[in-house]
Amino acid sequence: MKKIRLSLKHDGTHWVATDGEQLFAGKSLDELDKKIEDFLRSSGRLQEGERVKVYMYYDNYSIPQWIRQYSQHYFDRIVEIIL
Amino acid sequence: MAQYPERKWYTGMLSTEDWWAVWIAVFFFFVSLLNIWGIDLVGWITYPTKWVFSPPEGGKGAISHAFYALGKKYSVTAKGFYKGLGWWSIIWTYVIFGTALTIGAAFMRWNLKRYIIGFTIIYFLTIACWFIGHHAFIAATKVNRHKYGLDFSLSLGGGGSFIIALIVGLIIGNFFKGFARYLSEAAKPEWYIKTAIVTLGVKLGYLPIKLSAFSQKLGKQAAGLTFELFVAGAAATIVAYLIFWPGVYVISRRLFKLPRQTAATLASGISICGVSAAVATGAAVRARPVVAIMVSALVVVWAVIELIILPGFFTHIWPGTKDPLVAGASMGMAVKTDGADAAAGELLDEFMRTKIEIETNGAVKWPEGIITASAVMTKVWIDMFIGIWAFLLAVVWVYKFERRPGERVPASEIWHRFPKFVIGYFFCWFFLLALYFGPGQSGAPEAMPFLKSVKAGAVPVEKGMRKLFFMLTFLSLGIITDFKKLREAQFGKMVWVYFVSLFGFVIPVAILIGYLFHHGMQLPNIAQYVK
Repeated sequence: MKKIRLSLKHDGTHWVATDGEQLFAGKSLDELDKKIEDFLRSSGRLQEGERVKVYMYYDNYSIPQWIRQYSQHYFDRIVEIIL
Repeated sequence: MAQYPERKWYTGMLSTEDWWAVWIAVFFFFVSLLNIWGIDLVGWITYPTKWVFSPPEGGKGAISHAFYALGKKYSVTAKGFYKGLGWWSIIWTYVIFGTALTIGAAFMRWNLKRYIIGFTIIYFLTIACWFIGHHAFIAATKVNRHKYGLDFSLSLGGGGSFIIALIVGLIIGNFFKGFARYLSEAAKPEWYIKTAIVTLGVKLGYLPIKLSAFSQKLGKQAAGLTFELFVAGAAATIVAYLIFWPGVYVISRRLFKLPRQTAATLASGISICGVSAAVATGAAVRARPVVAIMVSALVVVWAVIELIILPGFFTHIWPGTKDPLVAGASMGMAVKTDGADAAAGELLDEFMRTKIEIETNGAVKWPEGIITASAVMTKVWIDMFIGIWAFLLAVVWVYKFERRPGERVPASEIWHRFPKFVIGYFFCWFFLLALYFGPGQSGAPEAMPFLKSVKAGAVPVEKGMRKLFFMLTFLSLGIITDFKKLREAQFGKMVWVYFVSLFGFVIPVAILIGYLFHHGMQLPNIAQYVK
């Protein structure tokens, strides 16, 4: 199974996931997941029926610094997509 | 596509406050243990003592001795050297702790210039508060005020310094907001308190060693009592997660009609462990971060209000000195954020010990730190389960409420949320216990030279370092607390949910459970052994 790792954060209005090159944004996590799935389908680098595990690690440096002393972690998610 | 770096179990070990609290406290703990081999490298840690401007003839309190290096009293091998430090121990402490903290700040990618300047200001303000708070008029009791030539004193013990530090911090935080913002880079109450809590582990492990010097029986009694506190504290976990949380959630939803995500986040903030619980829950229910941030801002302010009210209430209204550990345990369940809870526990410890001494005219004296430990113990139990709680909540949310296809909640979340300073706290505690029961032969007379060398190292850490970091916490808590936030419209109903839940539900239930599990636990009386 192919694995993709992205960072995740919320910019105030959108959930934003990126690998440093490609950037995905959605008002909801559902919308974000859909955009990643659409990109993977259209990229042409993956085959029909292939399973992809998308790891989204929350960018903990986007948590306001005054809160980081209490909690340095928001959440990580794993989304499995079948193309 | 490029790949974002994978998050491993050890990620954050050099970039988070939580881990740096462990590294710094455990480092100084190990350095202190060099005393076993006759090398005393911690005796420079500074400590205040009561003073007056004009000490009576033959009395105590010369201003020139208001600060001293703890090695002067406790060192086995370098007493003479540390005796000479006097007030200079303040500078030694500043340079050495300041360097250690700045190394941590550098790894955490903070603005170093602002941190160093901010820490310098906070440190010397802390020392000033400590100094003023130890004027005999504030700190002496009716039992010992005559030694300082006084007929009257406020009898606040060491608690006076904490109160002054908090007041100074609050004045800065509420009236000099620009200055407070500048200091915020170094005003890190949670970092300081987590470091202090690790050193509290040293205190717990050291207690049996200390009391063994009085009598072997007392030493064993102290070891047993701290273990009893550890076991009884477990009750707090059930109370916080299975009684407080559902109760506050229902109050938020039914009485105040808050949305589900906000109610869940707020319920965790009020009933579990404050900001870290609010952040964990906000994440678990996949709320936008702003929800957790808003709740956190409220938690910080309410926790300080509790810190101001509860120690005095428990000492002077109920349960007083009859049940000091009921008070401590209740505090741990009621006060949110580790900083405010441990600070409130420390204040309670000072108040209670001073009060019992006054009530009995010096016939009863309790060892310091056990009441603080009772407040921290219940809190630590609650803290340890936040990862599991957030994981379960996320599973319910993702699989049941939101039913997002393909999403899995990684079990590694439990570890990422685990409060790492707890590891340092238990490590130091059990390490010293192992020394006490092992080569220390449970305080047998023939092991006394060994235990004395352990003591020479442990005291500067569990007494000087711990108190200093508590003082830094009080001042920093004040600096970051802006009471005006309670009036901000965006918080609206949440302020009232907090008020109703805290005073109408959380505090009364905490007192009841504290009573059920800690009633009757007795603190050892050491009056006949100390001056």
